[in-house]
Amino acid sequence: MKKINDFCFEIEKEKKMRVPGRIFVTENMLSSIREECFEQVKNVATLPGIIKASYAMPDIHWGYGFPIGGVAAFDLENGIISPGGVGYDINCGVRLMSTGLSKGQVSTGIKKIINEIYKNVPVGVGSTSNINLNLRNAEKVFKDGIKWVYSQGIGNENDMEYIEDQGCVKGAIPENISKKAFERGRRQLGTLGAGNHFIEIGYVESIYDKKVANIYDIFKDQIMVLIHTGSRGFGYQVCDDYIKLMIRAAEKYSIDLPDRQLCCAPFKSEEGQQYFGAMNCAVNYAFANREIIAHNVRKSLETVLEIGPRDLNLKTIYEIAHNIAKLETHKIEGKEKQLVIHRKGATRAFPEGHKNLPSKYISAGQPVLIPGDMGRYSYIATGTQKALNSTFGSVCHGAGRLLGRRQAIRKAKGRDIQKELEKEGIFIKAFNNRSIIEEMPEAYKNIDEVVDTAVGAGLVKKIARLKPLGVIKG
Amino acid sequence: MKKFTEIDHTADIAFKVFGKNIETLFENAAIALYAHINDTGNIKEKRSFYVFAEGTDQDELLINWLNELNFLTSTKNYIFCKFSIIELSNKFVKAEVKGEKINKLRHGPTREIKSVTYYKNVIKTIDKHIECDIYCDT
Repeated sequence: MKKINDFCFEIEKEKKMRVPGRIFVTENMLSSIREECFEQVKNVATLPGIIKASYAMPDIHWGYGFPIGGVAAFDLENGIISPGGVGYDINCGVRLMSTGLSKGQVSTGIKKIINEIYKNVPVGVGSTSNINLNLRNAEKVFKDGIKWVYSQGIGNENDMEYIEDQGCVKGAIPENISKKAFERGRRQLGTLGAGNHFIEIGYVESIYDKKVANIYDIFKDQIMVLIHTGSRGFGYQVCDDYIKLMIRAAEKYSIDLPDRQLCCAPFKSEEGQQYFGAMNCAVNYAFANREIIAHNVRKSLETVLEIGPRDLNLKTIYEIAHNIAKLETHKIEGKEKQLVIHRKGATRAFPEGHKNLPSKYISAGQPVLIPGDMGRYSYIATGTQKALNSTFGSVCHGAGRLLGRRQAIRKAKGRDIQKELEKEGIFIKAFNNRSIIEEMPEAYKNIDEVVDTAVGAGLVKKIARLKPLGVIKG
Repeated sequence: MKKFTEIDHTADIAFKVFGKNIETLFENAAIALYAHINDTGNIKEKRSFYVFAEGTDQDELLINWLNELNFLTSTKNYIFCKFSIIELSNKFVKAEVKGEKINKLRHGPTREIKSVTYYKNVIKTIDKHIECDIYCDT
């Protein structure tokens, strides 16, 4: 391991690696990273057509196939696309919404608000929504994403501009979706799911950059909403279907795999294009899913607070994906080149002036949303030119887990985590008590340290920090 | 012989499954999967299903078999306790599985498995038994 600077280490090229590995962590963090993570960074570096390096963000932790916090770019001509480099929860992502309200206006009613949202958004294992997709509607969701939600007379069309890819990617091919994937997704549109997915009501605790905060319309003590979920069972099944196909494709194209979960096909091959078309259906499904949830959160807030949409002023600041493969143009050796960027547990972070940003944010840069655990903080940051040059415009997607789920259960033995958090002014409501324990703050790395590392590496600038008041967990 | 032991994975659920032969390895893998989905041990044999899976080899087949079960759980809301392998080759498995619908009152919390992954997907023969590490995305 070679130290590049205080915030970046390099795994030098060895054996079958085509490029080096680059890990954005401090020396202090390095010792807490498990050996398996480095192995996974190295494995990704062996894949055909990988450009520059196999990257890991400061929240790196042990995944399966790719590490979580992994970023890899592949050449369009001789590079690959890999379902394992996207993950099962395709277009899992985070939406940040601002309100016109201050902390003082809601903190006493937080329990009521959380209970009302819990009533209106299906949460937890096996939960279904009142939307029962038929084949025809499902195709529209796959192709139109967020626009399908608007066609149903719900949602807020002003959100669209502030969502990565405006809530709809091109290139979705509904014919590439299996019956099983359709079956698994048909009753789950508008549901939160389980595991680490959440809805959080919080407030702006600190502002670090007033100028950019103004552009994002963020003020001190402002009430904010964070939504974290993805493409639900639909995406899981799309990934599963195509991993099976890619195991065969990798053999067909003689791709030497260090691990089966990294199975892949050349991007331009029949199999590569089939997966890309199916994956884009799930990307659009996730966009629609978050918009429906946002709609139900909006209705819940209006009901409990007895105010109209104008006073609530619930606006999307930004929504980003952190499990995705997409075509992006980046400068390689001075020339613009289209690449397939895989971000697995990593967030896009484009700088000011980037042409893919909404016009309002051109002078500020893309809002980067980095949620921490449910007891500490979440960050709003902005992308930098350095991120664009050194990680294909990518950064960490959260704090990253420190403890395994069973370790967390052992650590919480005899404690009431829910009560502990309530004492700190954070009301937690969960479908099952076990997720509160498994997701307890100590199970995660300290978000301050993770974000400071990303800032130290020059990948983002801090804009504001949020503190939770109420959280719903699956 | 133990049916399975835990592997402490950071983000997800992982376990090592043992079998004296390939059939018991497949059965024990399913038992381990449902011990992680629901740990009450209180699942009744109310209804049976026939489950089929295919794979390019037995390593992949093992994961595909578990994912077929997980598909039934996520679409029909059933959890299972009894697994009987009827036919098993290198590329095909047929089994009868028994279980019941999830009942939150009796079963308590259940865990959502997004999928069983192919990470480190190799069945190994060690002395007189076989084993495989299984990693699930949760």
